[in-house]
Amino acid sequence: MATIMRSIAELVSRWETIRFLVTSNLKAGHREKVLGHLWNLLDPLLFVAVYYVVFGLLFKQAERGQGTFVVYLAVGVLAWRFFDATVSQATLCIRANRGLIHEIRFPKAVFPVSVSLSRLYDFLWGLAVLLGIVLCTGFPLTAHVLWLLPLLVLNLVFAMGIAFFAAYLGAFFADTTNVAGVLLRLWMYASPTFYYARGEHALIPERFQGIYMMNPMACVLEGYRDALLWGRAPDPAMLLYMLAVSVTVLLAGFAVFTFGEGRFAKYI
Amino acid sequence: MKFLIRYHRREVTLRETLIRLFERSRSRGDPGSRWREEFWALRGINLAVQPGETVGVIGPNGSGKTTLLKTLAGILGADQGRVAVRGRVGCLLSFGVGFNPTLSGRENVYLNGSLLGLARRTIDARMDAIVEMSELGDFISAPVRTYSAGMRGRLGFAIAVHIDPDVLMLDEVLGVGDAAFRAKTGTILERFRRERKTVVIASHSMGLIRETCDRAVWLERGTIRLEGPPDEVVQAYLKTTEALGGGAARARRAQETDELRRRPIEARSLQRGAERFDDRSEARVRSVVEYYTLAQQRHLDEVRYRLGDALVKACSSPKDFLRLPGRLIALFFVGLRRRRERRRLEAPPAPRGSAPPGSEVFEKAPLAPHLGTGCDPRQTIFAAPPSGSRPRVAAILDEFSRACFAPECDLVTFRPDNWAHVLKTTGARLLLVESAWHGNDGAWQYRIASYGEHMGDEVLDLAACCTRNGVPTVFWNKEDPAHFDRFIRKAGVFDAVFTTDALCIPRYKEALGHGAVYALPFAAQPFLHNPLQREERRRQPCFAGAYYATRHEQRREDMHTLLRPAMRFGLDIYDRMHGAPPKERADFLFPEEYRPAVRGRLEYDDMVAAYKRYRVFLNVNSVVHSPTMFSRRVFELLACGTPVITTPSDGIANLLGANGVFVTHSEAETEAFLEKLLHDDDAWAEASALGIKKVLSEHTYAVRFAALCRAAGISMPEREDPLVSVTVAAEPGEDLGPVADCLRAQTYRRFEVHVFSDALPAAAEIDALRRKLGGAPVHHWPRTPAAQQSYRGFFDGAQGAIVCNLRAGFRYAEDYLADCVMFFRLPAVSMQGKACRFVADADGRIVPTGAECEHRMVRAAPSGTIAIVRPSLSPEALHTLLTHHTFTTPDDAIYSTYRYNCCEAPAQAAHAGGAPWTLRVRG
Repeated sequence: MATIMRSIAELVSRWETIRFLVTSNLKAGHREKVLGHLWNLLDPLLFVAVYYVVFGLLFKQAERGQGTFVVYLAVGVLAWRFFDATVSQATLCIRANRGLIHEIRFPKAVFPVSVSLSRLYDFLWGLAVLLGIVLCTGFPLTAHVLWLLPLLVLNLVFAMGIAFFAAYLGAFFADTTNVAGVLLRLWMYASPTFYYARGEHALIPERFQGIYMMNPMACVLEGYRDALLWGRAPDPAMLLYMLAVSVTVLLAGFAVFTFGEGRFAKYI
Repeated sequence: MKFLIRYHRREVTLRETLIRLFERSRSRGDPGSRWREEFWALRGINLAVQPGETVGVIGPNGSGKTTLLKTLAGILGADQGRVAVRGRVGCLLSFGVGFNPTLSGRENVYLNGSLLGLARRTIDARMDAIVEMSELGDFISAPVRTYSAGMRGRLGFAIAVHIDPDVLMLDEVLGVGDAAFRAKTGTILERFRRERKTVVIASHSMGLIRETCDRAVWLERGTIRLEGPPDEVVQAYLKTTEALGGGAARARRAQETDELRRRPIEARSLQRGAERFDDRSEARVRSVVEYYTLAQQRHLDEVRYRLGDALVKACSSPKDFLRLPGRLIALFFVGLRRRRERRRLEAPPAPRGSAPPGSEVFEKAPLAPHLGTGCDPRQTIFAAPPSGSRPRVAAILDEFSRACFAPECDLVTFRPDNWAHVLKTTGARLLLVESAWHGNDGAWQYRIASYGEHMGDEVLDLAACCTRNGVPTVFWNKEDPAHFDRFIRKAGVFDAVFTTDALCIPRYKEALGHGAVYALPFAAQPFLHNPLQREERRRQPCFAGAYYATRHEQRREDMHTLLRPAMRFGLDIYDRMHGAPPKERADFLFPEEYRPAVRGRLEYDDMVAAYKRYRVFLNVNSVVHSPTMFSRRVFELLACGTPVITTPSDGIANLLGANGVFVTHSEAETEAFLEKLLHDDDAWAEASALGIKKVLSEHTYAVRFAALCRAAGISMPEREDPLVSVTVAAEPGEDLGPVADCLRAQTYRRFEVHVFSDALPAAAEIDALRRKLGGAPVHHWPRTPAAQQSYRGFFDGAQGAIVCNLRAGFRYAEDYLADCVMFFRLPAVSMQGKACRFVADADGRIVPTGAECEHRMVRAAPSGTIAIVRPSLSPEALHTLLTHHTFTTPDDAIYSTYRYNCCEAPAQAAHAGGAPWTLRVRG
């Protein structure tokens, strides 16, 4: 435990490094593109559009939702995208920085953390798009929108925890990326991203709802929708459950990662 | 401070993981199969560096220098032990590898600086100095991917210096190519010294270490070999590297270590505490390398490997996916078969007979004539049987014997710690152990011979295990009589003992209490020793070997008999002890009078080339009275077609007679021989040919191996001399009588005859031929009306592995066919002919012609002297052979054999003057 605390302290002392990694990562991301930072907005917009065409129109989910579907879908897809991008990039982050790791000693945790924060930045743009959609489609925004903030933190904590695991495995097994891709896809289908999980149009039978909602990502998505779409406070029990799971995952992920850190240089 | 590093596999692939999975499930608890081992790049290091001290790390490549620096810097975590460093560590291990190529130089400075723990403000303050030192100017804002290697290097250097570290790690080894770095290193180190900073530097530059360091550490194979004042350590280090042959040794060792690292398996066995480095650990390292090579080869064939492989392949391509079921079924049966074989090997012993059949014959006549009629045709391309039909032999051999026996059998080698596992998986029909000093690449060093220092008796267990499983065991002492005592203890456990010296047989019988002791002299291996000539021979004599200034007085006398006259003929000497350490050198120094002739020393491979570069070699014998034992070089030289002048030896007289060897008793005699061999071309050619014929037909490793097998009671696949299809074109009205006489006289009896005739079949002629030849099949192919049809008939009907064309106008000696078969034993000979041969000149005298072609590859030769292995013969070629005087190939595909045993002359002329063109082995 003392080791973990020391590692956390060391990580915190490198906040400048992390900030630098995040900004340089974001800068480098759009540097050579014609549309540049416009992609921050275009990306989530187009993404939602594609899903809307496929699931909303082709699979006729939109009819069921009676106008709520666009927002419902946008929340699910964009929040999921944040999680998905964080984890899949985390599997690569250690190997991608092989040179640095072989040359300098520093807490390697800066990589998964900076990956999570970079994707969070993207997601913030996504949220802006989302608010735009909400306003355009004429849904009233209530004070419950403020719930977004704690939900965002919980989402980040959980994603970062999984990212630590992914980065740890990715350092030892180059195959992690592929495995993670498949698992994430599966996870996505098990979460209410583009279909109704609860309520009158629910795809999930009532008796499975309990198990279904054990999925932390399901809680997060439903929480976002409560705040943005249905204009109500998220279920407190759900929030507490989320908090417990996210913190546990983050601590465990960080511990495992710290434990393996010293051996990375030998494997990559 | 003690730590160690474990090197892991660089990449874990699915294939390996799968294979390991099967491995684990099957051989759990089997200590013999260590498929994974660890490699300690560093072990047992204790190093304390005082503040302000500059420590230099030296050692050969791969000794752990960089690993040590990385461990000290905290980049690699220690697997055991502890590293404590106080203060900020600056590192310069490789240049600019850590830069992010898409970011600009400036951004990379911030990134590196902040990763090293500098605050943004601090970096801001030092940025200008860094840019200045890196000499990048405005390029600092350009992406790093646009930089040259030099620019990246300068930037990395500037950062490392300016982060103001308390401890600096410098790996100069990796910066070798960068001149700028070299120039700056000195000044920077000086500055650090002034500022009382701590520096650890790894370098190959001994000057740098001497000048700048307070202390030097010499690493070798992951441990500290010596530590102390730089001058002393550097001196000691240089001394060893020079003694080991300087650069060559370094390079070799570096390569070995690299190989170890590149193994996909982890490697251990380098753990050595304070044990001093000596030959033994060298050998152990080599054995590790060998083991992995072996392990890998073996595993490629194992069912579990192939199973994993098939699964992986099935995942990677659709074609292989479809093949998967077939592969699985095939593997299932292979697995069943292997299991049966294993069971059979592990089965309780069968009662064994007292003496192996055939042994008696061999004992009475160490080289019974029936052994000498020819070798196994398998070594040549005309009749290479699948390797499965060669007996599998488990062997402990020195490198050289291994090379000689390898073409004769399916050799399996192993180490003292894995023999059980290897034998269990591969099986063997014979165990052959020789009196090896460095058996199986050093793995069995000190384990065969008995020394004061006892290393291990694994070989006793090995022999006992083979005996238990009904595998005959034989021991070959090639060091008799000199080292009889060293090996007698180990020889005792073998079923049969072979010795190079027949005189030792009674001693063995007495010591061992059984009679299975036989003589097995050295021999030549045509694959390595053959007369194929590539360059000109010099008209000079040559001597290769050592001079014993303090021992073997008789031998020294003998040497004068040989060398003194030879000096007048331009002698070249290759001194085996040339370049030895001065301490030993004195005992082997050639006397002053011969020193101008010493040309250095040759490694074995170059030696064989040198055999063919001289007209004559000189040989001196240390053992004189053994009927079978003498230098193996004599066999090798004769096989290369080089006559040998030798001092007396009973063995040479007994085994080789007067074929290519000239025994001298005095300086005058030596001089006469030299005069004759160097300046009388005809005499030389005959001596050379006799040596070749004698050795290639009677003293090859194939013959020796057959003898071994016979004595051990192993039934060899019955060795068959290849069948020769003799083709003859009968001219209209020509009498087949001479052909019949010639064939009837042949010493080689396995042939069939194909007669092609243009005229209508003269049945009476053919019948006469049949009658004269007795049993040999005679076929008749009329070439009218369509020649092609007769050829087709021949290709369908001919059974021989060799096609040998006879023509009118040529005379053939009785050994002609035997010679043809013999020369096909040389590697890669598929066509032979006599571009060099005897012809009748204008006066009717028989003289040799085309001597420059002898034993070389040529384009053309007379059709009447051509022999071809069947697969190389086309109908067009057959047509040329039958109708043209000269046979030509597009490239140099014909091996022109020696000139003898064929003569292009009318019958009367050919036999005039006692037929100088015939050649028969003497006595």
